[in-house]
Amino acid sequence: MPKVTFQTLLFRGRLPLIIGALLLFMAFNDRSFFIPENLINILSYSSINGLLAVGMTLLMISREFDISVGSNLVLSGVIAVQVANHFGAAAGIAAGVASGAVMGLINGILVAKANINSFISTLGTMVIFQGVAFALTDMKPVACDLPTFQSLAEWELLGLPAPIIYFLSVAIILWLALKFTRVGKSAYAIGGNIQGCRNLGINVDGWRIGYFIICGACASFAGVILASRLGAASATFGENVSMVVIAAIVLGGVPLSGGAGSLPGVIGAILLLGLIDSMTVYLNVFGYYQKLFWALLLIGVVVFDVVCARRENRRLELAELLRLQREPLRDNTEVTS
Amino acid sequence: MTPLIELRNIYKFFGGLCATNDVSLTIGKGEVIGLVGDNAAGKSTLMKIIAGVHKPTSGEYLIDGEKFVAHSPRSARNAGIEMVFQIQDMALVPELDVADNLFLGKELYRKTLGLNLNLVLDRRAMQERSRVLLHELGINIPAVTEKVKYLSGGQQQSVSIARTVFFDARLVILDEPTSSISIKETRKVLDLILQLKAKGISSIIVSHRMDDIFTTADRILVLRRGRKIEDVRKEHTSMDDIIKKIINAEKESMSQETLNQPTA
Amino acid sequence: MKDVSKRLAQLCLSHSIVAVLILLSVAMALLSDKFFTAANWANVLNNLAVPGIVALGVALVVIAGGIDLSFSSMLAACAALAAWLQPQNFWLALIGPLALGAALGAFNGLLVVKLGANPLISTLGTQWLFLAALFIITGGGIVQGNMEGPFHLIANGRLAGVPLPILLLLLLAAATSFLTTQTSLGKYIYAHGSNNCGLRFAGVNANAVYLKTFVLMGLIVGVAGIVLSSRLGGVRPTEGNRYLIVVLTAVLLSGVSLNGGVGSLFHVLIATVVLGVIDNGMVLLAVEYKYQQMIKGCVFILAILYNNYTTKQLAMLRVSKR
Repeated sequence: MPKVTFQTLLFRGRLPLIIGALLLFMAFNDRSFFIPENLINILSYSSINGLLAVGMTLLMISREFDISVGSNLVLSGVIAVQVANHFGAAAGIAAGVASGAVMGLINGILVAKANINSFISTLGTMVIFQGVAFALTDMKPVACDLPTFQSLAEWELLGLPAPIIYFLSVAIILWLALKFTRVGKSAYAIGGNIQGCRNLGINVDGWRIGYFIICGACASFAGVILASRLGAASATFGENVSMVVIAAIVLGGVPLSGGAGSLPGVIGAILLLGLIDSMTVYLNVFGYYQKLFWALLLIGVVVFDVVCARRENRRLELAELLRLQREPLRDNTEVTS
Repeated sequence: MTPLIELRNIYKFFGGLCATNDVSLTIGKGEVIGLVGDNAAGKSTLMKIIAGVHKPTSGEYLIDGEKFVAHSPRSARNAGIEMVFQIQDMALVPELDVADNLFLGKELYRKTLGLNLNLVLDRRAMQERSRVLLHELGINIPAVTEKVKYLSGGQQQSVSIARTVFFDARLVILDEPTSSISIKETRKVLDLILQLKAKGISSIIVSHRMDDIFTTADRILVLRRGRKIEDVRKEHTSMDDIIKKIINAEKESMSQETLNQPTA
Repeated sequence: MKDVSKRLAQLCLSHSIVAVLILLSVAMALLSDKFFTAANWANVLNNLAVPGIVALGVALVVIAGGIDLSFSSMLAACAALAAWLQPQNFWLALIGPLALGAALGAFNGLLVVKLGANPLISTLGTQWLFLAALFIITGGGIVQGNMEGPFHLIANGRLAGVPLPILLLLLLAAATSFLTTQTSLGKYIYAHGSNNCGLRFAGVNANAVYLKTFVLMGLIVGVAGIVLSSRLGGVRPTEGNRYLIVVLTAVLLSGVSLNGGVGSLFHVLIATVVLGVIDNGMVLLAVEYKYQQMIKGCVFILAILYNNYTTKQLAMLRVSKR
């Protein structure tokens, strides 16, 4: 049983602590921050990034990334708008999400079958997807004023706008899949020891392609929702999104080396990101302080992570030594008794 | 003649745990010692004390009859003690070639503008000297310009051992030198150890394979739970004896040992 | 005879990026008669100078087993500092950016080497950190230098008819190649990327080597910042961002492995030129701008596939020899 020290507790609870501290700070500064409209607004704003993040969490647990999600978001939005303009809203939505799955499939094949490092291959497909979006739109924004298309993101349930509902339902489905099904188990196993999984006869390549498809589909769903909310899509958007999302996932507790992490942590990190964004607006500070804060947080957490891991390693080494030394003694008592 | 290395009453505690318990030993010049024992017998702790990784809690460590305080692996290495690890946790650099590996950290330089600036590497001289050394030791490698990652396990192990000669070793500590090497290559690695002996270099071999120990060692030490329970010349013992010492010895001194075992 | 053909195969496989450049150039020469003119090549290389110089630095860090994504912000910061110092003193405008680059590189290095943070995430953090700091310091506006004097000549002057940025690029490529192939620091950089425990075991201060690599990269980015500042006159804080993808592409295309320990600075230079030739080719062939991005991406993926293929062939050739 590992000992839970104050330090590890502090580390595990870092996101609630930081969020709590920020909320407390706002409570002293500007009470109007807490009106329901603003809080819902934060959630609604976060749900696009949130969809991207929960989709990529599985992928990062299995030790891959997808840098192309930003371009995927843009391209699927463009495809959804253009198909909707020609064949109706339903076809547009379907085409948008399907295109994302195809983009995920392409990434998955490049990584799993052609054995390209996912950082490199998705860097390449990021350029390609954005290039396709450029070619399709002639680099101008495209609009869709079909009311049915826009209604995708316009309804409300219990006062919560549609994007939040979409985000929460996808998050819950993925959380259940991660926690209780083979989908999640395989992700942790592949991220932990890919060669071991191969030796056990697990279809490693199949699963990894699957995770890329899930990631792509989530990104395109976010793209379609965004396009529907704006009633338009533009190819010149979303370059930095993937890095923000990866950073949020790491902050949420998924290590870059894969094999660990959970969805609630990632959702917490996404909420924190939305909170910081909203705070900068409320406090009326220069927009780049928000990036500064985000950067410092990221660096701080990564460094703290390493320090904790080092302590843990030293403790484990000593425990292993103790175990080894005790072992013959135990064997012996069995023999003599 | 003063022995190369002498340990007197070495104790090492980790917390309340006694990893080496009153161990004394001597290693003569050019002597090959086989160090055996079950897991957690204290072999690796003893090796690490000699290699300067651990500082003994008490006891004396003498080199050439003079008291030696090993502050770090580096100070032990300066005294001529080299360690060769198993090839899995390899101490070689796979992307560099054989000559570059042999001279890693001890490069030769060309004169720049007639001055010894230690700026430009003298690759040709390093390759030439590597070739000579490997030939001398009878190590068969396609070319000294081959990257180490393209060599077989036995070849890699041979290069690691050959490197200790470059570092002017007087004592080489080999940790399981033949594990994960093909049987054919095992023979070559063991021959290499005997060649070091012929050059007057002492060695300590830690191995689970009795064959390895008995083909190379002059003297065999058996450790058990931190204590030295046997120190015998190879001629005066047999493989069966040693194996019995490793395993059976436990029962004989059981009751006494349990009393001594700290409970922390 | 067989040996010769094997040698030849090895040579071709290990310099595959050069083959790519030759094939591309021949194709371009056949398609456009403007391609092989001195003016066009001067133009191609001149545009490459800044990303080419940065790529050399980034390649060093990747070979040492790390990665540094903060170069875009470092570049902008160095260029902005140069633009700010330039009206005051020419020499200060040269030394300042170099010092700033080295300091920022050392900052990254300390995070990664001393604290042991993952280089990908921590330099992503410093990318934002440096950029945010730059925005806050400059207020988000353009840092305006003046467009005259010796500083202006750095990017716009010529020596024996060759534009100075090209000479600088070639000079730095030669210097870094010399460093990596002929000096012990270069050897240690490769060794660190390949197996830093082995380097440590050989008695070399591996952390110092790694830290030096980050500082060296900072210095090289500082040089690129000076060139950029001299070319633009005025520098916006976001100026570095558009080089992010180009530089990473050039480094990875050249065969530098993200696992560390593999790659050649000469190939990095060639890979940058390949990217330049592709850009230039699309202009000469009047490819519509909206298609250019797509084509670039496809060429990148194809080149990576080709690179992987040749590396595998090369390894097979080597292993069969023993």
